[in-house]
Amino acid sequence: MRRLEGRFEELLKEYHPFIKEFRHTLYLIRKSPLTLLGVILFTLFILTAIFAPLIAPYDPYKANLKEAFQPPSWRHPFGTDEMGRDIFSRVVWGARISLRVGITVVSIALCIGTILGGIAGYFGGLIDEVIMRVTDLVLAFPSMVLALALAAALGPGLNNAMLAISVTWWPWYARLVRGQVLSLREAGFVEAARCIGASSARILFRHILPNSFGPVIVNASLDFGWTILTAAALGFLGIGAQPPKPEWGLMINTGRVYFLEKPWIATFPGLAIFLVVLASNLIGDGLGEILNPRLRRR
Amino acid sequence: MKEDILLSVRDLRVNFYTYEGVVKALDGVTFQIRRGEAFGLVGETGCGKSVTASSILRLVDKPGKIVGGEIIFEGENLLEKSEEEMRKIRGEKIAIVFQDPMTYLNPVLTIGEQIAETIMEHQDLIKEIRKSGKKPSKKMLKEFVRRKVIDVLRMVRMPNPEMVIDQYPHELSGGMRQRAMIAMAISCRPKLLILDEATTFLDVTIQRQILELVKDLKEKLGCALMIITHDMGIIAEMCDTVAVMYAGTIVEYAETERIFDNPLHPYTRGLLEAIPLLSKERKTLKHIPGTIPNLINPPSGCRFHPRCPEAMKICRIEKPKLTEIEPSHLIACHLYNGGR
Amino acid sequence: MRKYFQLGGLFFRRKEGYVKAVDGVNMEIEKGKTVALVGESGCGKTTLGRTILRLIEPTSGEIYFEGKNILKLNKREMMRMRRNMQLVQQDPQSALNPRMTIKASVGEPLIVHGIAKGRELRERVLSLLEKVGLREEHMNRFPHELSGGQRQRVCIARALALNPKFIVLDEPTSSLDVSVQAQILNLLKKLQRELSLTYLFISHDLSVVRYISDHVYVMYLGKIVEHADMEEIFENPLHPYTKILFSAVPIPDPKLKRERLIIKGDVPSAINPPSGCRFHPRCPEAMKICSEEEPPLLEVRKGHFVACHLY
Repeated sequence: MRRLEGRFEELLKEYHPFIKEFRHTLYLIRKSPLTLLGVILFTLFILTAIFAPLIAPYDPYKANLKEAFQPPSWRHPFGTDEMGRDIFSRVVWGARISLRVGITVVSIALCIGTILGGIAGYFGGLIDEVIMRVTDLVLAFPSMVLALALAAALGPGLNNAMLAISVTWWPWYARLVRGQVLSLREAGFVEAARCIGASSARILFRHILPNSFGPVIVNASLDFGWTILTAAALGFLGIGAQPPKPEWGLMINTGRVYFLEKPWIATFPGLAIFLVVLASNLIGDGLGEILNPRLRRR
Repeated sequence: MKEDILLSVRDLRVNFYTYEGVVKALDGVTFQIRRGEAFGLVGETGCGKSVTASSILRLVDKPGKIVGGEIIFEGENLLEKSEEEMRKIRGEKIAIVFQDPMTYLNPVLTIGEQIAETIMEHQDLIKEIRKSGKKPSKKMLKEFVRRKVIDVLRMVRMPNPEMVIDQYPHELSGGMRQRAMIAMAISCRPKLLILDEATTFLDVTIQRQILELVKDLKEKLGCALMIITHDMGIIAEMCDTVAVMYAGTIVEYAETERIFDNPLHPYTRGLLEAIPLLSKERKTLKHIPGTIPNLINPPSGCRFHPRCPEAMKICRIEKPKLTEIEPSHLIACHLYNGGR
Repeated sequence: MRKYFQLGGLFFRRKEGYVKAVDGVNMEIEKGKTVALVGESGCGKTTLGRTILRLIEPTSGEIYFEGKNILKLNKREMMRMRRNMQLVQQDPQSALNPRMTIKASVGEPLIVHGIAKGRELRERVLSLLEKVGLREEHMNRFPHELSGGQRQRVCIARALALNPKFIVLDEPTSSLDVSVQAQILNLLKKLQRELSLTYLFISHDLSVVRYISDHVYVMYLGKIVEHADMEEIFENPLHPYTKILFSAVPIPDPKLKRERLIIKGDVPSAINPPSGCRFHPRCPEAMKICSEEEPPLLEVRKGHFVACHLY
């Protein structure tokens, strides 16, 4: 038992610097009220998504025509839609879908972009040329139009929509990472690593990429909101999630028809999108400042 | 004697408020500069010599703040001036040249435009033209300024001033950029020229050129110099008096020859013994053990005591005051303050 | 075993134009000695140092390390060779990965070469840190938590990790304060004695060079203009550039009034170097021949080589 304790202490000591860094980050977040607001909103969003079955009072899919078009009330805080489904429950369940969209799209784009951008920046030459021309090709299209076209080609459905958005999104990361890698390639510690004979993979993954993550994380957290917005837009246009899924964009689309008389149907999912996008932007901006090493140690 | 004093800094205190705590960057800095004198401020990284310079110009940025003391320049306390008045003093009366010219030169303006800007900011050129009996017009003003700028560039011995005036900073070499910075600084004939590590980034041969230039300018303009450096060699060559700084305080202050002949403070002695010499003998270098203290939680008493070979009991308890041991030789050390 | 290292005729090429950063340099480094390479910024001293370690591939030339031409080694052999030769850089701040702890940085060479891991790695790193005067408490810190001098000690520890025979020290003290500089210089001397290391000490600071080196090479615009043993070159500098360089150093002695040799102009660009002797446009003693013919490096006195038409 004592040996175990000793081992634990050792581990603690080893991870102490990381814990200290983390604490410092927390302190900086606390000091910036807008970032804090973003974090709170985002945490709420994630908690809602995780505990959707517990929070939602009704089944989001169950139609009850008798209760259709109810305005907001104690029974239905956000009112009901044309099929009599509780909008509050649907918005809550929609958080799950949006979280999934955000995480999937951003991680796919980030993975592809980081790897390709890293390789392009580190090795340069022909590889760089090929990769960067492909990204240029993708970036030449307006991303919404490209996503629309791809999603339409792949056929309607949430998964296809996510795939389509990912494909239009990764070049941004590739560019960003490449720029970072280009400047870090000349850094002293990279040269030192080359001098001890470290392999290219080790230099790229252990030295260059971890140090280029700051701006990438910032971009990812900004993008998180945008991908959700884009997915909602695809849903709204009918090529994203398909009914009866409680996807926010889709819900706005159905609410659109009744918007003047029954504004709550479209408003609440819209509000949800707005808040999530806002949260992700606030966090992104805040992180941009917090992760800036120049501002960090002052 | 009193009227002779151009700048007098008394008990200056500057704090920086950071995440880790309050950094007491300057903890009671006191010194004087006489008119036309070359004063040297020497110390190691983080000892507060640059903060001292920016305090004199009231350029201490957040999270830093001047929390005490006074800076008397020509009989007036600069700390009581408004921002507007300060702006007039900066450049016109006190000018500064920094270590890295590239960060202080605007990359999208030509050298000429930047110097002209300083001149126009501080001098009433229209009045001057009228005085010479001509009618001021826009074109004339332009020519007049241009002539002035070329004059200034000639003064700093810029090669081809007529060409350089229309060049951008990146087209110049490091030494020429520093010349341009000096030109800008002296364009209004300041009373005090501060050189904040102005030659540190330059090669020795170029540094030599700049040092000789500064010596000449001092003679010509009769301005006082405040030379901030870590290089004892520059101090020895350029300065009349020296203040040695350590961890935000002045530890020794005397005429240059005195300091080099008879350094009294243990830190000054250690510093002089740590310099490898180009001259003949090569003894083993002595070094001062330990590192510069953390100013958030500085050592109690004398801030040098943990590294001092002659530390006594009292050094840990009481902060030594800067006192005059011999005429015009001031030291902050208990060894000489009857602490024995 | 006398000949440790030889460099012959390097032409280094960069993409933009044709920069002869290092041009026809020959250099020998004796085992166990410290050879200093002195010059101003842009003279190619850093490039030369990197080329010797094969961090930059030379355009042409040969580099022998213990009789082996390292430019002919394949990847695997070069990897093994790297254990013998290491680098300490100028700026310890950028030389350490800011996201790796000191332990990870110092231990990396051992991991890369598969020498140690786990508990043994810890022990090894600890003993390396102790060798350079750091303590266990520094192991789990990040570089930004250390002072400049401590960081440079970490870099030295990392360079020592593979038990090299030869270390290129690229201005290892130029970013440090004098009191700390003295610590590091003394440490380097101590390590050299204890581990019988050979140093190539690249510097622009002549006082430091005088303190640490046995032999001095002076470089100007990619060429060696003079080299001799330390005592000889400091007592009796021959090349006008060397003389000017020595006289330009500020001396910490207010009573010493020296005759100052002031050099004209700036260092010309290496893309289009002056014809003949590259120093002639700035040389106070330039003659007609200097602009026409390049002076060869000749032994003027015993062990004292100069490339100048005056001799």
